[in-house]
Amino acid sequence: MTASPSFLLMSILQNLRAGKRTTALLILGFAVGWLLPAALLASARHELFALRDRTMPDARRIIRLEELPGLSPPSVRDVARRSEAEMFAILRDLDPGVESVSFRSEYRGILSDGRSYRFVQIQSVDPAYTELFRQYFRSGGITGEGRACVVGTGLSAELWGGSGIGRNIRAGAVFCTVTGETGVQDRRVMIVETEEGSYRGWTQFFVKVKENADTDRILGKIRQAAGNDWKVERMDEVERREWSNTLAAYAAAILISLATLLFALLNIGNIMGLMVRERRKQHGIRLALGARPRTIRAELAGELIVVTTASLLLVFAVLLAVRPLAERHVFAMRLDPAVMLSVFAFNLLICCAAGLVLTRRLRKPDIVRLVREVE
Amino acid sequence: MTGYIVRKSLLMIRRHFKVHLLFALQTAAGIAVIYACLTLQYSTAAQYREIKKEIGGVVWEVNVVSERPSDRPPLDYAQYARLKERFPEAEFPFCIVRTVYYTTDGTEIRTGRLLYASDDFLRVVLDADRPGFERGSAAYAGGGMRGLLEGRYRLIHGHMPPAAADGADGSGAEADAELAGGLAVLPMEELGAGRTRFTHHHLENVPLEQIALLPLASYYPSFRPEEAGMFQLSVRFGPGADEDAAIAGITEILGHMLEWGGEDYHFVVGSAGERLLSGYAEIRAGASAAGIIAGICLATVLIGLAAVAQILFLRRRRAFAVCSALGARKAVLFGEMLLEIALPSLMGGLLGAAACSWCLTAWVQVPPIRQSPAVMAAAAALALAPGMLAACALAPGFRRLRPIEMLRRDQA
Repeated sequence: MTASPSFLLMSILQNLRAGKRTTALLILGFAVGWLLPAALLASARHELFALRDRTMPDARRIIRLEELPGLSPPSVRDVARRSEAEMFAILRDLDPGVESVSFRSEYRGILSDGRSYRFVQIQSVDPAYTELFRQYFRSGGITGEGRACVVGTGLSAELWGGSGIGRNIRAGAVFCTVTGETGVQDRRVMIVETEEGSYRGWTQFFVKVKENADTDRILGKIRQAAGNDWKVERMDEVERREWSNTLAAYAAAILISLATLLFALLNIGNIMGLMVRERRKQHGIRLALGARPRTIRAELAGELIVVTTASLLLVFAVLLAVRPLAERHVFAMRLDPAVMLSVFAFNLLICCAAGLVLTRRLRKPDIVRLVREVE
Repeated sequence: MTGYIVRKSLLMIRRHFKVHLLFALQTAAGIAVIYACLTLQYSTAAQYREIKKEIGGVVWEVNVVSERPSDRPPLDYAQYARLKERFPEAEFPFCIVRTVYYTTDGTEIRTGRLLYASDDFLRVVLDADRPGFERGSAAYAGGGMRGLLEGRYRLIHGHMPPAAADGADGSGAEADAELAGGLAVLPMEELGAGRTRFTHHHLENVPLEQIALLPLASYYPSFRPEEAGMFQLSVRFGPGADEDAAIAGITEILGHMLEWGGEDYHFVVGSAGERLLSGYAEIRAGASAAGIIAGICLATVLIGLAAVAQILFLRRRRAFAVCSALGARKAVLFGEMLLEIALPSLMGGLLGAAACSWCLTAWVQVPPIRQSPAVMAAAAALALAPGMLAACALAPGFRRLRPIEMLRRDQA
């Protein structure tokens, strides 16, 4: 005879009610075990999206030129060097295989929103630069009639606690209106330059080639034209290097995540082990009275599902509640259904594996041993 | 009795070997998380302390970048006075330098510098306290420059102040003259400067003899747009000034200057100051984030471990109650429980801290990791906390152990 679902449900609820304190501790233990891995998973997902956004889909067709530091400070123009405007003109007319040339100049200055001042990194970019990325804008874009600028999502959250679109700001000497937000450079302000020759600070050029096959040929020509003042590289190589640098930079976070995950797994295993051990005698007696191991397993599984679901709901409630604060001071998180489902699925997988291991003794011949073991 | 407690605890650990092994492993993982977070926090906090120390007493050099030609100066005297009023705790060793070439006898060409300086410049750079100099009518000049200002020597190239220009061609030279604009040129010795040469950035090693110090306010009537790039405002906050206040102060000064400069000028701090300004905010944010993460990890790991330890003991309450009924002292039972949980936890803690230390050394280079034996010892010692927390939570229950009722409930 198989136990009916209603009987199982009643039995599960009765068991949980009978040991309220233990149930509360189980839920707390599970929740605490999952809190950090879930937060780190949400943060990793955010970083993954940011990384995806900042990759250039046509990296194999893009060549990057990077201004090498001269002897004079960035604010002072070295007359002996070829100017950025000259370089831009050379690159544009270098070869018919060149599709577009875009630039990014970076310097530091004061960001003012009329209420406070902040020392930030400012970039001057041309509209074509934003089109090189998979997804440059998180929200908004380059719109409006006046001077447009784009603010990084992190900076925006830190300064205004949310979106800064529509605000009139001053970045360095430039007055502009925030028309978009980006996750590509999330702590910077980007001024969209509509005029040629608005270069400030340290400059990079991005030369997009029409055909893949022409990249190396044009790279050689650019190297010849640029001389020793510019570092010239293929963008796919730069991206590969940046990826390994990112991994190195995240080594500490990965180490903590792995240790946290191990802690969570052991926590689940320990809690389930203790839960099963506590009931061994009861299970032995019930088996002796004719209960089927399958019923007991189903009951245990049901209890686990109730406890872990409550714990995970608690975890996500806590994460959603602290998310604005965490994003402002600690790290950004992306708590989307994929993260939640992954955590639920992973938890279910662990529970099933641990359940199978822990209930392998629920077999008829071991009844006396089960009863004795507890004593 | 102590020997009995230790023997009994070891016996119980051996009997519940699997449970304690898993608990020790969980403690090891938890302590590894705590140690990694504490080390990150320790490293970033050390960086933060270093940058704070570096900020103390630094001279911030504010340079001007001309965005478009303008006939107004990047910082006029009234604006400078407003800055002084707004930041009374800051010093502004501000000077504008004009280089001039002159000849004494028509054959030898000499280089001289006209320094339009502030009071703070005299005090900070030359150790000369002359309050009111910057808007006064006294000028100090070294031998050759005094001759030029008084019109005894001939100007070859450069721009002289209008007041002195009348006499600079040699025609209107008056010995010991009070110049037409009311500027009295005094010998440099009368300044009572604490040094004979400059040690100030681009004036490094220039002798005072080749300098004429003029009041800052006297520069503005003769401002020329091409001289905008010569403006270099230095700002120094007192050695005892708070680093946060210094950072906020220099940011606000830059903000005000930008506002006054409109779209004509952009202001940047020197590379050393720029590194401190951008690095300070980044390191402070990193240190506080690491602190918050360490705190959260500490709390969650301790709560998680304490919950497991408490479940571990809850199931043994009946056994404790029976022992108590048979005559065992509650203090002994409590001690036994504490030791039973402390030993595996401590083992786990030591293992976790050591393993994490090795991993951090081997794999993590960014941010620069600084490990401290004190942090490691503290993390390992924290392994005892969950057991203690669980034991403390159970302690009130130990006083109310009712074995008969427990057994009766069991029979029911």
